[in-house]
Amino acid sequence: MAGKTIDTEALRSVRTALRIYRSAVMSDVKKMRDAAKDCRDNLGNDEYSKRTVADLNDSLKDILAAIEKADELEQKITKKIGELEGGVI
Amino acid sequence: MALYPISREGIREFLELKKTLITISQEIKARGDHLSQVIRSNEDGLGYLYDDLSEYAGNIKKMEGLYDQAMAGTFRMIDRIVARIEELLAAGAEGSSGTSSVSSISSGNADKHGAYVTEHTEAVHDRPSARPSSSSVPEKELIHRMRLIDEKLKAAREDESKKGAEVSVMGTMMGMSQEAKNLLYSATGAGNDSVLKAQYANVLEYGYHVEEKILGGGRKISEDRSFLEALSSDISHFIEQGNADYLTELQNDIARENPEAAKLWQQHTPYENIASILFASMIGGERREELENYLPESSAWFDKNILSNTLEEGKKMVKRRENDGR
Repeated sequence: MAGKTIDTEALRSVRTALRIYRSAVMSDVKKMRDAAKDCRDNLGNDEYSKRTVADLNDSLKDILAAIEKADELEQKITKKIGELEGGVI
Repeated sequence: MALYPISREGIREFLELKKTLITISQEIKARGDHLSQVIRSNEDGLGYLYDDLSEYAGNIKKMEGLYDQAMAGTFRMIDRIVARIEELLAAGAEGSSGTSSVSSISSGNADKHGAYVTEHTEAVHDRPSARPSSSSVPEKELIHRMRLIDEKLKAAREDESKKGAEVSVMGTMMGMSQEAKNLLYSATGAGNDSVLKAQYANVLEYGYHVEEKILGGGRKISEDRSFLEALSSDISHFIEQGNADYLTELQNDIARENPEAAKLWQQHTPYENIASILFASMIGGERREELENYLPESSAWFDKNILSNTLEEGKKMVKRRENDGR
């Protein structure tokens, strides 16, 4: 880590932006799922809608994997803030 | 969720849904851009975490692509539903939308199915005398059954925990089972060939088996999705076992031995004909191809779309006859 500075304010700013992003994505994922369910129900769960919903779920799976990554980063940031404020580093 | 009505309001709600999705797509891109900007602007204070975070910011762009992909499919579904509602409105479905829903007219192919609904609606208007003067199922009985189905659908829609389409499965089965039994009784009694008779008996037994499953034991079909799936699987299995030939022979025999019953199978008034196709699809048979022409993308034999459509046609018939004072 030599040559790289680190401060809690910068970490907090990024953590806040990360949380907002995560929350927005999760909310949108829910909206997309609900919309897909609406469509599927109204199409009577036919073959076409089944395929489309399956494709959509594949996309959402990748999006949710990115959310897990965001969670990991947030934990790292929180841990680092704790270390800095605890005087470990 | 609530099923959308066949009306301008239904279209408007779907277009609003599309707008909402477009908005959230734009918002999420803005949020992603903001996060990337915050990461870049704090580069000096993030230390080694900057590498991880900047890599993540790079992946956000990929996520935008995933969003677009996910939404494109949903948009296509919405467009499909809106087009279908438009078709039905053009065919005059609005006004009877109190118990109508989009699902009740959906199928695997918008053009063919939409044309089908229109074609039969016009056929009845133009040719009221096309219906045979005698039938194995009295009109009053048909109307009574359709009212029962209607009541079940209304009850289902009042209870969000139930699905109208699933309840209509039960209702439609009730509506067609007597008709199917009449046909099968006729055929069983008329058949001269012992092998054929045995086959008819097999079909009849299976019909009862299905009916018993549907109506027996006081089960609430709308609350038991796995039951419906198991039933669908049973029917598919029956067809896969080669029982499709039964219906061909059954129909030939009906035509030969019982012209009156054959009329019922062959006529083109909406309810009876679709019910026949429906029954044919249930026990397998030569009308399989006919059914596939209506629903080319559907592989499910026990397709609730078809059942719902049968119901929809029946409701139109009842309404027209009530309007005619019959």
